[in-house]
Amino acid sequence: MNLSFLTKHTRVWNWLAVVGIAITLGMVFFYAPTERTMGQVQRIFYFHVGSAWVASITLFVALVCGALYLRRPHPTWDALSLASVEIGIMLFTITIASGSIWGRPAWNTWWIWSPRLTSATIMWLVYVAYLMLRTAVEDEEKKRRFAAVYVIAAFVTTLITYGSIRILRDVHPVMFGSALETAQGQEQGLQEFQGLAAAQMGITLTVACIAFTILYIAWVANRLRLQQMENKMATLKMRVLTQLR
Amino acid sequence: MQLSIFAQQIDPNVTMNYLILGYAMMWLICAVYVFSLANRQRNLRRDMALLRRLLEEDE
Repeated sequence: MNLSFLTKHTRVWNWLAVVGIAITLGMVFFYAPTERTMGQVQRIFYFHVGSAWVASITLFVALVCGALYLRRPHPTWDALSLASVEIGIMLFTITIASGSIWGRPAWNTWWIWSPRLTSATIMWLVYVAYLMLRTAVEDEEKKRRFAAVYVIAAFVTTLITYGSIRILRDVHPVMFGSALETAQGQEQGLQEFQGLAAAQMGITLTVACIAFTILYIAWVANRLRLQQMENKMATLKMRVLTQLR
Repeated sequence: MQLSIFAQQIDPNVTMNYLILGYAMMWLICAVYVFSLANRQRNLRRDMALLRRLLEEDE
């Protein structure tokens, strides 16, 4: 698979990401209205949800690449899977950190071991373990196959995190869901995010999600370029070793 | 009885400190990743230059 459209134009992707994030910031602070009950801190929401949404996409991309690698082994699938997991972890770290800071004024606590937050932590740890375990296998072929299987299995934690607030009682609001789910949450007296109904908030959130997607593409492009350099480095090392012998 | 987490309205500016902290943290995480990518690329470039020099010297 040829991903040169990514690696050859990293500068373009970098600038697109910078512009996208700048537009999002402008909209968050000058376009989106101030939420009535939470006040200014609600503006964290756009980056919190945007990063979470794109983190889920990155992990899904990793899953697809893992499956494709098992079907037809090619180092590019593994490189794309690795890049996606690495970026997914970074984006999910942003989600967890921003959520915790938002939770302090909203729930009066930095952290609460609710189903959503617990499953999110487990998910984060599972993917961090993926990066650590990769370094433990030396044989490249074996490492790639092992990583592909792991990344497919690890996606279960993403599904659990997504479903946790829909299946179990949780203080975390349902952001994307049916009207029925929202109504059920309200019936149980759970927090419901009413602000999303406002068009300006919806538009800002959509722009944030698009900007984070572009940021993901830019980071993937840079990460793949790094991988190409690592491959070149390995070839050079082999040449030097051969000459020394 | 219904539990309402945001039962009372609060002064919107009270939470400003948390907003600043939140965005500072998010930028810090982004900066760490970008720096790590740049650092890895710089190290690789340096190592590749060294290996190329070794090959040239040997030839």
